Amino acid sequence: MTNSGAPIDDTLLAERIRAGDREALGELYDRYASLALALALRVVTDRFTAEDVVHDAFVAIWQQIDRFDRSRGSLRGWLLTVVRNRAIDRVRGTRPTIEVGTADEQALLRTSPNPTWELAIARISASELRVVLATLPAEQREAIELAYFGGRTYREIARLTGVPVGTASGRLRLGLAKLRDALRVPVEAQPVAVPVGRDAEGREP
Amino acid sequence: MTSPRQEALECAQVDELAGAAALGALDPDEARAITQHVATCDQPHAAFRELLGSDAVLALELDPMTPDPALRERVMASVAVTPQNHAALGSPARDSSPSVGRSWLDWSSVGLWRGLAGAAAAVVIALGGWNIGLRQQLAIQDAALSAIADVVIGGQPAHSVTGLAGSGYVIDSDGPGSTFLVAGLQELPSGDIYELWLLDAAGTPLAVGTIEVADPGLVVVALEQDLSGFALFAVTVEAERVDAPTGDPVMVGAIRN
Repeated sequence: MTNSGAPIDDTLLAERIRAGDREALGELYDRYASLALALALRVVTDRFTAEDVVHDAFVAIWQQIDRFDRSRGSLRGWLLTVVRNRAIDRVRGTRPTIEVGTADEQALLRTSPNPTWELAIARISASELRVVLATLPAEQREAIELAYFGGRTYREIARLTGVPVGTASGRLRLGLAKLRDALRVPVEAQPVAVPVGRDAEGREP
Repeated sequence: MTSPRQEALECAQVDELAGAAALGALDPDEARAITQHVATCDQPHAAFRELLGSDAVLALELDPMTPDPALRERVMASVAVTPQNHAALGSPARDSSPSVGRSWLDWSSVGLWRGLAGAAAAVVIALGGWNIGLRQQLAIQDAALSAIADVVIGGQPAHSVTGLAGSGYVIDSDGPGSTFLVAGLQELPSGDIYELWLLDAAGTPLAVGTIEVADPGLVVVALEQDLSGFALFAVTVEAERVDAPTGDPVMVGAIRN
């Protein structure tokens, strides 16, 4: 299953939610609750807690929708960030110390949606992504999983895996760079935006 | 003033941590420092930026799981009584958006109020010794709140309650009644009080207590009502104790029975 068209629809959904349309929040839930639950469950490993995390995340999105900025990433990405942060907080036995505001602060790093990741989200399936991830060196994949699903910092990963912190941060960086390269769509395969009045090669008629 | 060598080193450090930054695997101070660096640095940090957004892709590795249908109902019920944060707290019960206010007005118009027999006598215990340190350290406050909740509930689930007025937990007690722990309560205009409510699945509210003195530290309120059979816990601001809420909730939390 791919997700073509979701970012555009999500932007419209965000505007409706911002306007106080609860049905829009329901549509957002219908669209992503199953993925949000899978993510929460992967982190907390307990379904009861995972559903609580998903509940809290959607309510937080409703409350804080004003913080959503499309230029910094997708609504789905923001939602999953909130889900993941809250799930990690549950695992660590703290109440949600990473609220939407902090998650949004992290998202400030995303000054613009990265086309590689955005396109990958739109065109690949879970099984295809797993195939790509399986091509990463084991230690890089382990570091990525400890960081993303385990909520570990690179310093904690270094301690857990018995390597210097520089090695741990390097594994994360190199692993994601390889993932990016594997997911990158060849330029010739990307859709080309053609200015009005010009053909696909940029020539005026 | 930063020397060119130092600046180059800082840029190199930032780029080295690109993967950790993209996955939120930095310590908070480090994340803030890198965010500030990238925002102000005249270097493009293209390699760094190219990894950002990768976290959203990793979640796609997972096979979606169908949630319990009741979860959607819980989410929508919570949303129905949760104001959106378009404005500061102020006088929350009176200034909230009409769309949210309707749901609370609907409660009273339905006329399904439970009786107020045994109206809750809220016992507010301000733990003064904690206050001075907690006022300025919200993170520590939150951790303390969670730890206390763990002690009080003895391993039972604590139901998170959040909103414009503060954050806390509502928890079942071993014996009769339940307990509300809240930290960071916003001050109210003189004379106003916080009123506490339990709602069943139909949205019928039952008054279960009040907090008359907002305390920015930790407040523990004994509620004379078990959580069993209720779907939501909510807090409103009232001019005095009332039988039906007059405004929007300033805090709300779902209860999983």
